Amino acid sequence: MNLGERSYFSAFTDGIGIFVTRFQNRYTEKRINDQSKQTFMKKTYFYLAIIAGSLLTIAAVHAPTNRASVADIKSISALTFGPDGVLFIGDSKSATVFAVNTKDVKKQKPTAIEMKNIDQKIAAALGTEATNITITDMAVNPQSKKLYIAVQASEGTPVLLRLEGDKIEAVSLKDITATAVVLNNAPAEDAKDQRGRSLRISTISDLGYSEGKLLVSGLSNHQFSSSFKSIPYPFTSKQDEATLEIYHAAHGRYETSAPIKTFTTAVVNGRKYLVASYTCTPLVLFPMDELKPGTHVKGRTVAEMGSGNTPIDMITLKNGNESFLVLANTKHPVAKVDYKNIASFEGTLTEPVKGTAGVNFTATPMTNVSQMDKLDDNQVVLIQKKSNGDVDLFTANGSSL
Amino acid sequence: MVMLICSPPMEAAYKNLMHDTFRLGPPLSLIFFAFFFVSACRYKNQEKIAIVWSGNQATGISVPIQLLKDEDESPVVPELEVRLQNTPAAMLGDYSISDGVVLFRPLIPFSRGLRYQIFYRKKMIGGMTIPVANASEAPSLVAIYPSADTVPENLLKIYLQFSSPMREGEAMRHIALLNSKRDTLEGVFLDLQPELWNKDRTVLTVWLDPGRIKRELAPNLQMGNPLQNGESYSIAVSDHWKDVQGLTLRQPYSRKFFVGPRDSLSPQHREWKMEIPAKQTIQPVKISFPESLDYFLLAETISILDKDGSVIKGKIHIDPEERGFAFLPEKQWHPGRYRMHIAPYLEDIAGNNMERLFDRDIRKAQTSTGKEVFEREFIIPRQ
Repeated sequence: MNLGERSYFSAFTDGIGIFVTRFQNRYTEKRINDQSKQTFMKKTYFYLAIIAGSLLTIAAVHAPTNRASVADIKSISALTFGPDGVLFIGDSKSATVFAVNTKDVKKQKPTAIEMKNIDQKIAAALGTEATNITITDMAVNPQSKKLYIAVQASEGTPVLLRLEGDKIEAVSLKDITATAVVLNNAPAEDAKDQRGRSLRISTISDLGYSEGKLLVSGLSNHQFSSSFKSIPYPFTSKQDEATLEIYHAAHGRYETSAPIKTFTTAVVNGRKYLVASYTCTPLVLFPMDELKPGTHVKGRTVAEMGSGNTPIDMITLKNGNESFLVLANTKHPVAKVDYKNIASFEGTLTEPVKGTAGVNFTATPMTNVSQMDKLDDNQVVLIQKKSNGDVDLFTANGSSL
Repeated sequence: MVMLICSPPMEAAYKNLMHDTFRLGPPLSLIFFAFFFVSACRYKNQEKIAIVWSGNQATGISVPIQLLKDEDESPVVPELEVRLQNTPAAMLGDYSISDGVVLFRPLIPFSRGLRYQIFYRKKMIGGMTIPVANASEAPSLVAIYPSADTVPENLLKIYLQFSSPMREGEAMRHIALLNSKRDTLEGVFLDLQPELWNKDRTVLTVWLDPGRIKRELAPNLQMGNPLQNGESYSIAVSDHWKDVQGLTLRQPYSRKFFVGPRDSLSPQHREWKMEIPAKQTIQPVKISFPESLDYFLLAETISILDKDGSVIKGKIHIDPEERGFAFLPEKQWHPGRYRMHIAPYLEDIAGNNMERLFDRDIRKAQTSTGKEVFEREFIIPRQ
């Protein structure tokens, strides 16, 4: 462990962050054997305060409006990578998506990522027990092929970790630039109860990035409806974001707006679609070119995946020239859907059915998968609770699922 | 004053403040304030390893540098490790040196009741147990909404309100719905991760499985509505549920309720009864509804405006069973016209909002108004 290592919440602007780091390194990476150095240090605190204050003033005046402090991250609900090592961090507690440049851009060939009892190992690295942490999401950097893991401690502190081989390390964002987009930029509307507590409850359920756009789906306590945004990236001070009303029909009879739990994008019959799964497990397709600001878009329900279940993660994998959708669920096993079948299913579910319906899907033997992301076009990284209670991280070939 | 400031808890607090200035970017004045006092306060003559507290969280361990010295050699801090007892891995965190101590701040606060060991050059130099929190601070379940004893069979949401911040991610292990025979019903609640907690983790929203409530969706056809008209149920909350300090709920909770017919109507604001206050008073304007509405949305969606369209400042007190509210103005009412605005997303407890039903029969004509706000007018009389 390096001296001077700091949590990624520690820095608040680039200039200050680097300055502090250098300052710390100056005093911490060297052996301390000289009292005079400590005296010098006391004086330097005072000068540092003045310089730091000046730098902060400069930063405050000149920072772009969407420049963000990673210190403001209150929670990590969702992760996804964008272009060139940019990691999008969905922070439900502050209703903000942070885009941080990890600078982790060295291209690497994918190698299987594995760690047995990952929950216990992460807990030990954080100095607690596995029951005191929750792995909230994970994402593979498509360039470095390293796995980034978001963890939340039971008392609420969010942590971003990265696996380096069999080593767990903290992702220090102290020298990393970040921008952010606030999803619910209406603090004035944030109602408080009689004791002054905020009543608004919302979470970011999933993030995706496709062709220059960050896609965000959300859940909220105050409306059972879809909160889906498409936000151009890089973020600008003037956001041109599309908030969509997305509806889907149950068997052509009842229409509801409902929150999307997880989604991916895929090309079906030469057209790009948003493939979304809902809290009540219908699989619904929306043409991407119809998702425009302020539009009321009705999706095409192509499958119902069964009851008592919530989808967790969704990815698209390839097997030769064929591509298929892989869907992890809370109750049901991991399901695979061949995009050929989705392409040939031109209609929408119209007749009430019991159980599952629509496009055929294959239920794999893989149960109790809590996290999933693609390592490359053919391989998937999963966290699964085994029958003996162990929680393992491993890599599987998509075609063998 | 210096004695006071340099007492250990205050000293620790200012140490933390110093770190927070780098983390949080507060106003400049705070930075100068922090640096001034940090330069004044030291871990003077600290001889033992000590826990550093931020409020009720153990956020650091301070180790006197003299404990790290090997005879003539000066300490090498990278060889200092903090470990959870009986684990081989060093904890991740941040080390810094000042004023004769090495301060270790882990990525997350130390866990109450667990023991930690400090190693230097692979040799244990000390250990400490983080004390469990004071049992008198144990959390309680303050309220369950809806609070009415009868709900429609298509009830969509339940709110649990606690006295202090709770742990996230384990709600489904501690909440159960029991039928009148005291059997626990399976698959009733939606298992959402992350759970829908408010910012300070005191209010949890739990959805009854919407797939089972939405008519003719596969889960609805397969398993039926979670609640049945004419039946009674109990919602039970286990006392094993812990707060963020690791303290369990003071007691288990259970509340019985009855289920009535399906609610397939949007809230009808024109049917609400109004009780108008007298002029030159700060008496409330009282509104009552023929049905229970969503407790938390009520406070968020209602506003009272004067004749010029300015929002009147005041507080909303929700009536029992969420069948009405009282709006108490900060200043006296003047005679004249007022308007009550209701945002269209106000819902009843079945998820039907002012604009649309939870699930709409698309064979029937839709009556969406497209209104941005619903309005009722009232007049404070001159007499």
